[in-house]
Amino acid sequence: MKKALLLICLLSAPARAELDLHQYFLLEGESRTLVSSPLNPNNTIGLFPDQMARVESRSDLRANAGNFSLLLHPRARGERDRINQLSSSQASLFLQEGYLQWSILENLDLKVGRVQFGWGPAESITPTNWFAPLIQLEPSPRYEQLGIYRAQASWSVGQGFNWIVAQEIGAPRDSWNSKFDTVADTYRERLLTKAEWNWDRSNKIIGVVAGGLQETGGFGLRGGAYGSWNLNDAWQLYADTVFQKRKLESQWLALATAGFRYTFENGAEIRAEGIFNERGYSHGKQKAALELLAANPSLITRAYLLAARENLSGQEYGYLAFRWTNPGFFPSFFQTPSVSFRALHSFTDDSQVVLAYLEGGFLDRFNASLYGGLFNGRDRTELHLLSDNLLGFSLSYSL
Amino acid sequence: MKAISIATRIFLTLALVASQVAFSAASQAAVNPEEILRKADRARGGVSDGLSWGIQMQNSGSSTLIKYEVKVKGNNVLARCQEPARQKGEVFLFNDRNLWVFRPGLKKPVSLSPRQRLTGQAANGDIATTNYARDYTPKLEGEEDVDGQPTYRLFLQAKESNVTYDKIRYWITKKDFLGVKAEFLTLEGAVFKTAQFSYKNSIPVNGKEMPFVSEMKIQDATKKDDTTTIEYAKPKAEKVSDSEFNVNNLVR
Repeated sequence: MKKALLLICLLSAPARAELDLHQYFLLEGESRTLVSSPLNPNNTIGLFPDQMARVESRSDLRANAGNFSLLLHPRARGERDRINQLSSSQASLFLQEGYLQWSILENLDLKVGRVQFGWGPAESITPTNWFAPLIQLEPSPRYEQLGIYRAQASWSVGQGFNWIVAQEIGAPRDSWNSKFDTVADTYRERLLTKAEWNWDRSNKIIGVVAGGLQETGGFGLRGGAYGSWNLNDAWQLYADTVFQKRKLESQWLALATAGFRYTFENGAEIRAEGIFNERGYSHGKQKAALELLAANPSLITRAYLLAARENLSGQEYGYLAFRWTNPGFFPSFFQTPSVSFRALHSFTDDSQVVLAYLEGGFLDRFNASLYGGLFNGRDRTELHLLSDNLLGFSLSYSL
Repeated sequence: MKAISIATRIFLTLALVASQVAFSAASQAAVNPEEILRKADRARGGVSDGLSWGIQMQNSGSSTLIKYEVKVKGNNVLARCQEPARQKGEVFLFNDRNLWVFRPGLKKPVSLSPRQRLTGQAANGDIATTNYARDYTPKLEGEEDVDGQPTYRLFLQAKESNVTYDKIRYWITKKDFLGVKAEFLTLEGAVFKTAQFSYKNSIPVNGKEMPFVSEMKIQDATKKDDTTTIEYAKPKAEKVSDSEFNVNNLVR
């Protein structure tokens, strides 16, 4: 059915098409210290690499023909990892995004395929986006989130209103071991409708979201809202909250974030956000759960470790970020240089992870980044394991 | 005879002075600064239905040319980066002074403050259309020649706090009502940057070809060699839908 629909769309498109291609290559390398812990003794469960080297070809292709657009982001990756002193290599070909878009009317679009679409004012997490809410703690600045297969309709009224309905339509077929590194990226029959208003020249934004997804025990409902308010050029306040109810639960539990952004006269900005996860474990419950799992290692899988990292097992977090683009202290040959820091603190278990980045372009075709991470906390905490004593670099070249 | 002659001379002198003052006042009253400003805006994008154009920006001391394909409507701008290669695919959306940036691979558009500039000396509002008549209260300060052209010199005071510049001194030619020079002032009235404009483009308006801005050269008032040049190419008046400037449609 999907192939037939795609064929009809392609055949009914005018013969003349506009093509736009951006091709670039990426070289990345990382090393990190892996700490042996009760949940991941000698890295036998997690099998995380302590050294990684990767080359990747990225193509961003858009073809427009009349009211139809085809967007494809294929990626070809070769990677060599060292895991527990053993080196291994792997190669993979996958689609980061790929969809067909039909502009039915000037303000009404339909997208079908693998789509990555995000919103929300907060930087750390977007609770109202249960397609992809994840905290952006992936170290590499070139990390790309993979799209999710969905059908999505978008209707806009001028600049000030937008309504989206999205339904997940299929499971990803990639090997999750190499690219899908979280169990969150499995087929969940996600359904979402979102309405967003902005006014006062986009200084005020509010959105409401409703829908749900398949969870343990059945289809869980979700509903929430987000908003941001620019007080002036310097200050912005924002919040994003969702209430979740699983099929087998009797109550609605909140996942919320609220924060502010302050921008200095020179363009540097700081953000501070608080995150509350009502479903997460309190300190006492987390301690008990971890001790139970550590006592029975057969219960622990790599999937669990990764899910724990992504799903915020604790309850309260603080997030702090600083970013400065075009600071004056960079050498003049750097183009659009920037320096940034991100830190996440878990109040539940008193652990922190800090990531730092230096980025810049040169010779109009190169982008280079140097990044590092440090973790601090009790060794039974798995949440930030991949960021301890991390040092990485990436270099991209655009044709 | 001598006494009458002196009185006559005094009377004639006073009459002459009075007539000069009256003539000057009448001339001033005939010049409407709002109308002058409105006419000048048309040549810098004050077209209601929308415009598209290409923009090329270059900062002094840099060989990099930054090129955008731009759609504008009022104070909204959608700019897609074409060059340099490392920035190709980046999309910038200005809803008035609020800036959104989207780069391929990012999870979502990122909101930036108006304090974060696109590049160099250019403020984000410099690549948008100009609607000084809506945003500023003009006062006619005087007349003077700029590069041999007689101009009106206007002082513009922002009507609200959320515009790009709080105060502007603006020189508009008397013949064609083209803004040829501007000084941008701090809240205290000091000049912090200047700009000069060229009008080698034209667009059809109501069946007639009208001059349109082709270049804006912006210079830091204290560091004279710190300049940004914006060149505007292939301006085209076209109907641009408001939904093009909705952040949820940034990737289309």
